[in-house]
Amino acid sequence: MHSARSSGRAFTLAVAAVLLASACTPAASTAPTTPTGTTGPATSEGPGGSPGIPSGGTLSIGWNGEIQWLDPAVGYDVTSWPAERLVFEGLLDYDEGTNLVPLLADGMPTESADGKAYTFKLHTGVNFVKSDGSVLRAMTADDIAYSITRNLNGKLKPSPSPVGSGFFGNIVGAADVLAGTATTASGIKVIDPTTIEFDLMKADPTFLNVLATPFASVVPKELAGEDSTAFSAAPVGTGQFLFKSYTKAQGASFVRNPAYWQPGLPHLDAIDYRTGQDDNAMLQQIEAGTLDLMGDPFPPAQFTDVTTNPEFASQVQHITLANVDYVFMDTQQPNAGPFTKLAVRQAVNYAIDKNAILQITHGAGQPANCIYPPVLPGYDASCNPYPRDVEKAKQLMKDAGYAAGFDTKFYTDTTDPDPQIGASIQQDMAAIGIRTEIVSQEFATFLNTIETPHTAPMGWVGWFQDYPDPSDFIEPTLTCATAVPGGANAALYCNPAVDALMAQAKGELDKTKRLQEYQQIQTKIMADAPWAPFRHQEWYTLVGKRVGGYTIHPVWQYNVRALWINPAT
Amino acid sequence: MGGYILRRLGWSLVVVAAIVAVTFFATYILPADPARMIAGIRASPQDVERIRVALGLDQPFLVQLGRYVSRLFQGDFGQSYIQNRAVLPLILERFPATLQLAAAGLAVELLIGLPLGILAATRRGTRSDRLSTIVSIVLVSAPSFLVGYLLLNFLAFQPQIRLGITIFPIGGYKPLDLRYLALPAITLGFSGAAYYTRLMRTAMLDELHRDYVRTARSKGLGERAILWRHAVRNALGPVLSQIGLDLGFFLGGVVIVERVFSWPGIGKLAVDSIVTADVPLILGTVLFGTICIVTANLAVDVLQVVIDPRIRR
Amino acid sequence: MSAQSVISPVASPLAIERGRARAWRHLRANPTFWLGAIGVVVIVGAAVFAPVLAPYDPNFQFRGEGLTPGGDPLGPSARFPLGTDKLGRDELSRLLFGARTSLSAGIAANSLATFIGLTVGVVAAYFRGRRLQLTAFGRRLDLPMPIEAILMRITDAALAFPALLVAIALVAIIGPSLGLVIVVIAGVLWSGTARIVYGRSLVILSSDFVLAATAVGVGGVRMVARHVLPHLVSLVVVYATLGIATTVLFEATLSFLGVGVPPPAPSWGSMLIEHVGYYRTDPRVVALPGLAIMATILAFNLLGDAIDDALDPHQWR
Repeated sequence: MHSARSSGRAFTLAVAAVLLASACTPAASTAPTTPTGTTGPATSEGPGGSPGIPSGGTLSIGWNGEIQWLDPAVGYDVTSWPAERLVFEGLLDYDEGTNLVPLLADGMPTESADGKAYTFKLHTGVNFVKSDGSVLRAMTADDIAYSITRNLNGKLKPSPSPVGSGFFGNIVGAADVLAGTATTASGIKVIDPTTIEFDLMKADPTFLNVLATPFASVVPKELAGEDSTAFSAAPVGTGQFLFKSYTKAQGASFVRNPAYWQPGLPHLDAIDYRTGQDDNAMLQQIEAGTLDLMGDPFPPAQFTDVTTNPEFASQVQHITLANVDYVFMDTQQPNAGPFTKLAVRQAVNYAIDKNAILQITHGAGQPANCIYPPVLPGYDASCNPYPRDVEKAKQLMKDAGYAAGFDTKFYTDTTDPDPQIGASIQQDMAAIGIRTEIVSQEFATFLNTIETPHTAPMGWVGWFQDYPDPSDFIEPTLTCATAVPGGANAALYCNPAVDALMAQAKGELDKTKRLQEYQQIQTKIMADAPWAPFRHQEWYTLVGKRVGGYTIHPVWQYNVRALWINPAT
Repeated sequence: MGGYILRRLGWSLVVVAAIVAVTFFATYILPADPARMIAGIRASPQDVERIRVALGLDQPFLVQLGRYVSRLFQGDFGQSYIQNRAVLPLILERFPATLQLAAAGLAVELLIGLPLGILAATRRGTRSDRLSTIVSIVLVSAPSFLVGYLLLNFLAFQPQIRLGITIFPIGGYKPLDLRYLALPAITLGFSGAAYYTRLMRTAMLDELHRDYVRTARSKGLGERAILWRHAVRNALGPVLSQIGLDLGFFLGGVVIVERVFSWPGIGKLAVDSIVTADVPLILGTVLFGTICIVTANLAVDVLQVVIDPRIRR
Repeated sequence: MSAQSVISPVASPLAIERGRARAWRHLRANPTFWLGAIGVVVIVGAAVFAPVLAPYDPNFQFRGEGLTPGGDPLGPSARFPLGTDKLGRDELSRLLFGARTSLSAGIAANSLATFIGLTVGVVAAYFRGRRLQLTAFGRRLDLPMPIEAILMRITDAALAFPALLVAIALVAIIGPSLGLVIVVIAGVLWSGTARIVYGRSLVILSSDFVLAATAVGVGGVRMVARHVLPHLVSLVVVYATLGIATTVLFEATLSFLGVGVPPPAPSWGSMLIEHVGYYRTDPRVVALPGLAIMATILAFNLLGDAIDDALDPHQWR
């Protein structure tokens, strides 16, 4: 997903695929082409239920935003999703990494030979539990079918999230439900109370990742009707926690589900979900020990103060994100503009001082020499076609006929510190004669600008993975098909030879060979220099002293199944 | 009098209508395409088109405006694109926070402003007068974002770090909790206080130069009685109208102070809606702010007429 | 700051001359005036001579030596007298050049607002109560001329705008630039001036000498130019001086909200907001631009207030 957000904002966007994320690709996925065994339910909790983990305590989590909805079919924002995940569960989840594991499913599904049908067996003994702790009833395959169809129901008030309905559009019959001509999708088949089948129009392994998003969470039919507001006020699910109360701008209270189907969980008695909090205030409360976690990134200006303070050394955690930040150049600039010349684009690549950018962002990242980030399969450490060389850059400018330089505009979004990164690049460009005027726009406007061909001759933006595969970094951004209005190909890069190689690599079944092909594609693209990649981001957070079991989760940011409170502190 | 009030009411509606039209046009030419934003970055052009049609964004400008206005008459401010909720409840649920801040800010303004103004007027030309003038000019010159961050640092942050005591929380909101309210209210009230000082001083000076004061003095009425029973009371007239106008203005959202203190009011909602290009919410908050101001203007005018029918023209 | 005290009964031209002399005497004796005047001179000087005074290019990022190893701003040193900002740029140079941004926005927007406000106010007052009389089709027509009503209703509407919100929305929609910031500020502020000028003009137009001038056949543009505008000069001076304070604050506020003058041009408001996160670890980078804004507003307010005060007839009784 495109996001210009820098280190700070990145994770929240990457995780929940907020607002601007894809409507037809899941937020994160391993894109498994074959189901991976039938391990027991939800191995994702790590040491779940094992002896030695203290039980009890109230964990507090602070957020900038408010919980908008506690209804899986409607909620879609960074603050609502983690709250929904306390109360609701779906068929699948992720392990501590990005591998899919069964949750309410009893093992991974069986897949038809053509990849168009998945059949799930359900875990038995799963109950819906009301907020007073009493059991409503057992969950069945009918509930799963109902809950997923609910995402497509136009009569829902307010309407279902278009992102969610987009996710399920590939199910056979989904279009009829969306159009209002049917109430059930023929492709969702309840075979018996513990078996359900999904038929797809096109084979798509990422459908399983869709089933791991909160949109696919199970809700009880008799309570979750067409009035989302009512259900949000009294949500009931199968999850580890029960919703107690919520006051806007203060917070929500969730308590342990005493009848949770998985023994030994949760470790916590309650979760105190504090909303509408200020970044600085949250950071300070974590330092003081009055807050355990903050959902939002901590303020960049506090970075050095926190990360270098020995007192917090054991509390700072960070993770390298699957991201690349890059300068794009309009390779099809009208009137044979300067960026249509390869030498100019290469000069830009040579000129950027990546270390300067890392310094102003407090070192929270790594220099990017090519496209794929180090955490991605297919990362090629040897790929570094343009090491910094200002003299060479000047020579290339001269070769291209721009010895006197030229004027252009450079676009960024307005989120701190993104315009500052723009200013840093501006100085690099000035050194080789490219005089840039920085135009910074609010993110929504910015996104529209870079997706409207020939509006932004140059600018910088970041790309965050939707699923860990090299194809995700180049297919949506560097193919001829995406070099259109509304496409994410800001450089308008279109090289039919590269397109052909991508199509070939995608169909390659040998994994090693496939990754090698993707590395060759990367080399070819970098030789054409539509982008000047400069950074892979890292995400930092400060964790409260008494929190146990916390590791940054690459998809969910934190995994509430693993968390516990150390009673000694 | 009824005719006058009706005329004023009619005019207020015209003002609101004009502002609706202007803001609607401004959002209409907004470069960010709402359908594209809702659909997400990888949505197909067909998906975007489907959403565009569903929202009526494919219609001509006047049709869209007409639909918007006719829904307004049914109390429907539209649906937020980003939050997927009706706009009016979104605004109204922020209203208590803004109301508290507005009321407390106004109280601070008056508590600082009026005494200084009375002092300046009664001791005109003395050192106290000059001092109160300078104090009020300094207050009005201090940008509220600077005052806000200084207060946050010295009254909330430093005591926590250095002394380990929490006097005031670092931003945030709890309903009817003075500890949360105090710093934002002081910040808000600071700059406005100076205005009331000047207003009160001028009004008091005018009153003190009137004939009735001279008459009262010649009759041997004490200075204190003249001051409090006559001058201050009569000078409060213009102050009261100003309070009404200020309240209307504040209720529409206090952008800066809400931003500095993460105060979840209407001003913060409005700024957030602009940042995310959430068109119905932008329209809704601007409209709401306008209605607050226009209503306050109307109320003040009508009250003045009720008190003093000669004003009507 | 109100300038209500200037709205007072109109004196004859001769009395105005005498009044001005007296006002200047009064002004000279007022320390507030000198404080404000010196402040304004210093700030204008800083803006005009910024290229000479500033030690460095305000936008040049000192890589490495301008930041701590952790990437934070440097405190004051011999090399950087007021330290650096978070991009390693010289803070003093940025503050000096920031004065240019603030003042150019302030003066330009304010001139525009004053021009619109003055025109609207005078025209509305001039046409108040006038009727259009013409002879057509052999009949005398007596038509009302609603120019005054229309202009003043527009002024009222402009006053009812949630100004800041509309300004933010406009800049967010059209994209930030210094020119737009100036137009937006002027568009918001003209109505206040228009109201005051209108009120004052009505008083002038109903005064004896204007009635006398009308009686001998002086009218139209000539009357306005010779008899109305001169009497508005002091009012406009006061309002314009105080208005600069308002516009400087408004520009800083827009920049603070991220919709002001686009980076990397130094603007005090954006310098402040860009470093707001440092208010706990390095208050210097927040306080310096904040104090610069405050000093500028204060200087113009003191000056305007002193002039207002000197022209206040209450003072002379």
